Amino acid sequence: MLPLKFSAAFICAAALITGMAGANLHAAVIHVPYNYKNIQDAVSNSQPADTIIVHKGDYKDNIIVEKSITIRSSEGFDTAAVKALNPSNPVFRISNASGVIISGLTITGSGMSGIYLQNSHNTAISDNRIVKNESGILLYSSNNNTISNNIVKSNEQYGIYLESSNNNTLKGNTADSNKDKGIFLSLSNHNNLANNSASLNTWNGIILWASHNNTLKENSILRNTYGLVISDSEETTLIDNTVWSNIYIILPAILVYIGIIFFFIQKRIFSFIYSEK
Amino acid sequence: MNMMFEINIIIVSLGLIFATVSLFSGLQAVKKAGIMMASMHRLNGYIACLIYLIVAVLSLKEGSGLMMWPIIGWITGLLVIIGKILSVRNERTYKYGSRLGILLFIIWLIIIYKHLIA
Repeated sequence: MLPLKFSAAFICAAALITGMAGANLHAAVIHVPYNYKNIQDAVSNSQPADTIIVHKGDYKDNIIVEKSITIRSSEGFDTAAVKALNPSNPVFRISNASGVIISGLTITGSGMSGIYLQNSHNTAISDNRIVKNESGILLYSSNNNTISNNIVKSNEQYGIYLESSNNNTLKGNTADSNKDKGIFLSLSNHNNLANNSASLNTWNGIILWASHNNTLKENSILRNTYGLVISDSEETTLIDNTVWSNIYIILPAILVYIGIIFFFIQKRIFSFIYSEK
Repeated sequence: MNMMFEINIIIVSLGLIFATVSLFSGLQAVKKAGIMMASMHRLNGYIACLIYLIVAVLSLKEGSGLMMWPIIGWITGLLVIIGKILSVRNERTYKYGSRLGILLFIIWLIIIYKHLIA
């Protein structure tokens, strides 16, 4: 009898340990709005390494993330939009966190910023559309983050702004048509900007201020008031960037001039056909 | 650099070129009546009209869904084109043709400013 009791206790203990280990190994997947109605509730009830999948719909929320979770949409930014519930706060505030992933969302309507990283590291922000906020993506004292393939357009101030943030990678982002600057690095060093587009911004395309040892490679900076501005910044590496001046006025004039030339050529051709002078 | 050679930019640029040729041939056709200038003006006008329709479709397709104001804008432009064609075909309204032609040229300039790089 004793060996049987011992065996049962051993099996229970083993099952409990295995179950606990299993719980740690397999992070939960939380679906919004099926498991939780809004994203903040899902974040509050998640554990580190969990994934929150945001399904089709328009959400009104201000989300605070302080643990390493993944928030992504099920079908890309065309279907899942998050608008600031309180416009004076960011839509996503990532504070003192590491390893956060935000992907595939439309983020809009904040009078501060779409995504705000504060003292956060190793975060990945990718494939989002961040439009019509005060600023698109703000990084403050945040290092080793990757911001890639985001569309950051039509924001009131900056598209992407880094302050006191080092060793970050910005690649494949579109920071166009913002009402001040496309990409702004302030007091930020050792960052890598590659294959970004910073065009049609009202003031600067890309500006580096008091930022050292940054690398800009194959960026497209077209038709801003000032394309690329490097001020009080040392050891900046520039490789194959394309910078075009603002040709709002020049290009239509050139096209009209081509039209006039084309008119005379066409007139000559038609005069051969119709035998007129 | 590649951005400047996207298909929509090339099409819009061609549109302004043909609108310019159409304007000049139209002014010449009014100045001295001749079948050659009238033919030139008609050809350039129809090409510009075709490009206008292509640009409208591309613009509405690339935008975020079918929005009311862009549709109203493009339809207004199309109505000006139709009005221009009808006015030059009618003897009583012929005199308004050149004004509508200049208006169409201005519409093309607006299109260039709005849609040169979308």
